[in-house]
Amino acid sequence: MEQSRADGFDGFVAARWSALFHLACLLVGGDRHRAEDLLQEAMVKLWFAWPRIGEEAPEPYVRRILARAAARSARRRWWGERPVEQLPDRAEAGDVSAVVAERSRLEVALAQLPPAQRAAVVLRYYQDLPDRQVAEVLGCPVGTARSHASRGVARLRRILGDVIEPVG
Amino acid sequence: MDHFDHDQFDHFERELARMMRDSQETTPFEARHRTRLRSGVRAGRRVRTARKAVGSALAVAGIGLGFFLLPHDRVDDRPQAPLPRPALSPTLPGPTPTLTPDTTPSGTTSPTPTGSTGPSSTPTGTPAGSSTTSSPDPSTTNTSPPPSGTETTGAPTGRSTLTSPATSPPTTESSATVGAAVSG
Repeated sequence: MEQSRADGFDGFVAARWSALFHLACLLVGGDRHRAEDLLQEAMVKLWFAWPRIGEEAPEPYVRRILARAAARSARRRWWGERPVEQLPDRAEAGDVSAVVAERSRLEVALAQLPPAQRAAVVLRYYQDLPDRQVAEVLGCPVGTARSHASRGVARLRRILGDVIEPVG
Repeated sequence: MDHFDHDQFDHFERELARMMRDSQETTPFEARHRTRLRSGVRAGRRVRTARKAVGSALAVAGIGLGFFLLPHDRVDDRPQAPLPRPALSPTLPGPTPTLTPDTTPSGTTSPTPTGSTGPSSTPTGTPAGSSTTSSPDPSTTNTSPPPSGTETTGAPTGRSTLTSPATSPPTTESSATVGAAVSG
């Protein structure tokens, strides 16, 4: 019983660690240490809930824990996020560091959002969740989740406007 | 799971979604992650065990306090037996006191079938009887011809008739006038 539980849990963690870590990074605005802490806490909670949800949907459970914990920990203390006046320079096409630079710009832009808006944007555009499921994950009404996402995107539009050029 | 239709996205939103997806790094689940996760699970077990112990101790303490605060003497809370009814002898033929004209005015107390009402009615009735109407039989002041209880009415009324003139002189006038009116 315990061994099968450990096997299933270990298999899930090993298979989904990378994707969940990236989700945690986006939710906290790029802080890797904080993202790892959040993911560890979520996995510990998943271990104790594994007999209930291990066979059903462990990933939505972890996603909900991550999103809510990110918002809660952001309210609890300051994590050293500082808004910047200018974003890092854009990478040249074909540059090896282009991906790294783009990721850095994205994380800096996300770090400027309030936690609830950041979580709503990440869940909607990275996880492809509709407003209803975003609201369920965040534990708020649908209108509130939609408002958070639209305001977050509007703010990112201003921040990343020179990076993502409009079509035409 | 119903996902978004990306056709609803404008160019910026599609680029934003692409940036989020493309920025993903490959982060393997390393041994240090596993070690930290196991230590976290052990700490969680300790916390849960301690929480259960504290909860059990609080529950036991609460139950004990509840029992301590309960009243120990519960005699008063017992249901009482029904009150004893006055004994009635329904068909005992006996000498019933006859009503005299003197007693009827003082018989403002209507005759009641229960014998226990005799003593209680005599204080109001006896002033009239004792007031100059000279009713020789004190039991007649009872004015109640109960079918039973004739054995209980004599003594109390006798005593009350002896004491009532001294205790209630004001009522003698009214009873006297009423008695005279009836007798006349």
